[in-house]
Amino acid sequence: MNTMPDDLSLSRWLDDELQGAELATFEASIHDKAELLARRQNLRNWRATLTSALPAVVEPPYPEFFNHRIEKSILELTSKPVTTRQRGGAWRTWWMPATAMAGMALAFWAGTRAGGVTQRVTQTHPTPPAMIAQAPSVYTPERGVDAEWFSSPDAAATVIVLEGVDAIPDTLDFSETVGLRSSRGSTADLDNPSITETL
Amino acid sequence: MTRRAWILLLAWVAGWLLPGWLCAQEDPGKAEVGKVKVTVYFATDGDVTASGPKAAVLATNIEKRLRTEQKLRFNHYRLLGEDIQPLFRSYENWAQPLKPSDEVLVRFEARSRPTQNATRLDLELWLSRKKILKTDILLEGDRPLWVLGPEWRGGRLIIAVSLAADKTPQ
Repeated sequence: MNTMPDDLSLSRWLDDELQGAELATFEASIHDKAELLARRQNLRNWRATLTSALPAVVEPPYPEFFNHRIEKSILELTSKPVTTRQRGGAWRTWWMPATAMAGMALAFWAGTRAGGVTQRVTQTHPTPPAMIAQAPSVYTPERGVDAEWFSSPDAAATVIVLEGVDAIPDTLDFSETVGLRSSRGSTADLDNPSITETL
Repeated sequence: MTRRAWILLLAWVAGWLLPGWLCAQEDPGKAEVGKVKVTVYFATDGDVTASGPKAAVLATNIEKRLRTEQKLRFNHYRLLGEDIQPLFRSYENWAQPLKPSDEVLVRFEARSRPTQNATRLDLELWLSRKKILKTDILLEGDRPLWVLGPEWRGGRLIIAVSLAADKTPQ
């Protein structure tokens, strides 16, 4: 059975058009949720940006003039006699294709040069500027969620304490998860209970 | 040669040149400038076996270090999952430490060019598919970010974000 979502459903999901059972079915069928969630969030951000930047309704400028030009163009098209295509001279035969070829070759050469320029610019700044330590900005978009930030000198760590976050249901089981070492691309169990690793 | 033939010839030549041109345009934004490690711990004062039989005991040094911070002080800790993902020069990336579950996701993106031992990140914590926390954080070599997160089975989840030791930022 093909469980991959089709393009139409994916497009509708990205546009937040799926609802109810349709939404649940689709979300159960997708596998790489992290990437898709990121894509959907990007689209939402774009929509929000466009909505805030563009007016909802725009009247066309000079509508009468616009319609008049369209009618005039239609009349010209319908009344124009059919003309035979004139044959081009030497320009059409040889120079136009040759110019196009030269243009493509130039574009190709410019592309290779552009990469080189980028590399050189990078190499001229081998030492990046030192970062200035400053307090992070902390933002909690969800209502009722608070975040307290502080630096812990004893633990040599930055700590953020979240309060008001919904608890994860106890029925949710991570027993399959704990056996995964995804970064190494394997599903080897963490058999060794005493893991010696750094944070 | 007819005009149609010329168009076809040009399209054929472009078909040969275009892949080479695209190869010449390597995207520097995809360059890997480091690795970010996201780990999820289970911390509880109650029954630690609630985390399941596969949850791993933490290394002594990590457990001791967690206990030095009063707000993260619990009787028991377990490792639930981890994920190490590359940090790209100008693209975002995601870590999914509890795969295959997407209950905890961390989105990160380099905010400035990383130095040898430090990286400033735009970072988001997503819980249950909702963005819960957004911050910009300076991660240094051995100075992680610990987020005391949601409750679960009588304890709390602690999400640790740090630079992975096996890849030094360029």
